[in-house]
Amino acid sequence: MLLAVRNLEAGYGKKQILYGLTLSILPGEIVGLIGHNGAGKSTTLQSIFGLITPHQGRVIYMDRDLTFASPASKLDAGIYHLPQENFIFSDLTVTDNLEMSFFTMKDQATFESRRGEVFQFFPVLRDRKNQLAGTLSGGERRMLGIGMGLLRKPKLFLLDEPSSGLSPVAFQNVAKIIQEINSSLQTAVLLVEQNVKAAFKLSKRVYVMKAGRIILEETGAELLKRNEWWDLF
Amino acid sequence: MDYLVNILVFVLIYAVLVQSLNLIMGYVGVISMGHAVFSAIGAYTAALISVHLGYNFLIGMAAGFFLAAVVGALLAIPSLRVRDEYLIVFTVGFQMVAYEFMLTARGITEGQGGIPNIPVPRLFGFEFNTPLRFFPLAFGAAVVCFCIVWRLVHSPFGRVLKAIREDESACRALGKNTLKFKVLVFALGGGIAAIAGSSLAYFITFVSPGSFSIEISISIIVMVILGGEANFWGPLVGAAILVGLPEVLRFVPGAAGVVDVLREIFYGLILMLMMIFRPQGILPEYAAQAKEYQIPTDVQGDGNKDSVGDEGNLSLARRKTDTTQVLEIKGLSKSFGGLQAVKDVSLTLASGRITGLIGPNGCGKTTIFNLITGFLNADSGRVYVRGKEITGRAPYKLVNDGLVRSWQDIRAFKDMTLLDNVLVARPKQSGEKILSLFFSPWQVAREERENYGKALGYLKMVGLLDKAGHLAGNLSTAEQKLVALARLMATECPVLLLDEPTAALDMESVERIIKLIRNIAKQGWKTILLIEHNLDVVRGLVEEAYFMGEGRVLAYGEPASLMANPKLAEVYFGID
Repeated sequence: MLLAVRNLEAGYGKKQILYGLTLSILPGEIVGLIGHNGAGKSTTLQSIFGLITPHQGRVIYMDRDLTFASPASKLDAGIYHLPQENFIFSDLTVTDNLEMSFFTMKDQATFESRRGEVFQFFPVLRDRKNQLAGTLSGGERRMLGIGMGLLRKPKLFLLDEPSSGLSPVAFQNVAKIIQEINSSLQTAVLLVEQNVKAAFKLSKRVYVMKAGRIILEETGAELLKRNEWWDLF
Repeated sequence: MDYLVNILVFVLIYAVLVQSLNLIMGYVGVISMGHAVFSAIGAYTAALISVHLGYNFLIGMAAGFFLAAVVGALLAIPSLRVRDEYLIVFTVGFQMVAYEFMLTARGITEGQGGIPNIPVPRLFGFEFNTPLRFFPLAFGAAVVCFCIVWRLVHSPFGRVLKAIREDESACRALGKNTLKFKVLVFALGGGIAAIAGSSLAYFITFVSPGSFSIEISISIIVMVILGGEANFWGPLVGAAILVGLPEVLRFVPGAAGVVDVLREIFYGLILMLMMIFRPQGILPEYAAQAKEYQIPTDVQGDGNKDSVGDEGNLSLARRKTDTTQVLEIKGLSKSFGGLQAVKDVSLTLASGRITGLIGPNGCGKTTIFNLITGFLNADSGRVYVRGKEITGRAPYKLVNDGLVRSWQDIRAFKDMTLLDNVLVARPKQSGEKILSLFFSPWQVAREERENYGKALGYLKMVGLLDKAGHLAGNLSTAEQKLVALARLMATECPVLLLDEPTAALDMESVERIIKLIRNIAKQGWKTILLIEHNLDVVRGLVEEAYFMGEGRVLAYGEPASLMANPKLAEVYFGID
């Protein structure tokens, strides 16, 4: 078990958003998290990563209780969170962004080779390495964000709606890369997505959320077989 | 003895000055760093009128009041377009310009030296020429000013001021012309400050720029904060402590020489410490604990009956067959730079029905709400409510036309009680007009009692009557959403635009809100347009829905048939 979340309750100040959330992720698995707007999907990722402190429940990662650990320690442990917005430094170049992401890694000597690996996954980032990140297209920015995470070789990626703001074609590219990263590096992914079909295709298992709770757990393949999914929303 | 009375007169004059700033700062939320300028206008006008024109002090004070009121009203205009920190800097500029004017416009102000020998006030031969004699005059002026402010603040007008301070957009959406309120408050605040200034001029029979510098403006702010912003007695406490105390300290042996030196340090320290430890001041705004409210037995507000609103005047038969299009949108379009957020959208709402507006994230639903309610200007298209065109009308006018909206982020007035939250939404309150407030008090009182009963009735309808005296900010999200609904009902508008009323709620709260909205629609014969992402709510509540994608209306029909459409499924769930 890579990640086990048990009965998580969390929110913003007095506002409670999560009401006893339980989910788990095995090493190397892509797990989808879908649900209507306002169901608490982003909140789930933020609580797991420690940007929000849970009121109740447990977050167990590789048998360690990291419920109240800071985001910095979670990063060190191998979890990378990519939010929906504001996930890159717009006023810095692509190279500087990558350096920023690597900044707190203990072994700084591996930066060059790691960066080379990232450029292999994302050739467009190599082509634009001196360009200001804020001037990249939506899809390129998303790739930079994922690339920044890849640099740290995380064991678990928490991806919040990687399709948002992207054209269908751009997202197809991103989806392909997520697949590749997972198959070649065995990186597990907890994928929050509004593009439900894509989520079902990518994910081995899917959790469906509604109003702060999980209402269904099913394999991606089973869900794809259905004709429609209105009852999930 | 004379010296003590002297101090008392200064305390009274400053209390009035501080109360006038409290009106602007505490109740409208604008921090003015140039408030001493209004005091200067009063002082200099009084001086010039009495010295050069020979008129008596009453005329001098009145002239000062009106001139400062006009300048104050003009100052409200930049406050529209300039926000927060920038507005504060603007007032600093205002203070600097005025001070320079006092120093250099020697022809009028006689510059640095000031205007001496202002005639002592005189009434029927009696001269107010000693502190003891002047005291009743100062006391009388203070009482009159405090009474005016009291009446203003503890009234429907004052309630709107608090709501403006809380959330001006939400206040406008409830039908209040907030600009008018701000102009009036700035005018009155300026005018009352001028009364203080002219009193000072007649007391010390001398005016000079030194009494109206930026340091004075800052010290007035400190007094507001120390006493307690938006607390009625705060200015008196602040003035007594910061004006009275240092003077009284002079009597302490050895302190005399040090007092002046320490005064500035003292003021600065107070500002710093108060901001950290007790920003609400010595006297908090709501001194009493949350009260329990009972609906007065003689004014039973039946929330059910009253939510019928205007429609109650129509006969029952007509209501049932009324198929007028209550809300009609034709060809609405809006783009932001290169992004076309809303593309040629047309929709109609039939009377008495609940219509949904659904679609994937970012398809333009909230933009449409903003376009209908005037918070955004459309590039093209028209909006009609009950046949009357309202395209581009200012938000506050729409309540009068029968349309009101809710907000995705609730926007309850957090530092006001639930009762006040609902009361402020009541339409056509004569107590919100200054003239009625002072010259038709009986009518205002009668309307207040009626509105009180009705407001409690609406709170009862949403199940929050027992918390009527609680501050909205202390309630849970779900309860705040209920208050927001009660607030909408209180406007008696027949057309409600609800923006994601169940967002971020747990299942039980969602159920509760669904039932409530159903009740509201049925009993009050309301027409509702509802944006929702939780499709359980759409299925449970909505009779027809418009399905949107990428800024356009793609389909219209019953939820079941929309969800059976494979093309729409593609839009909602993503393309392969």
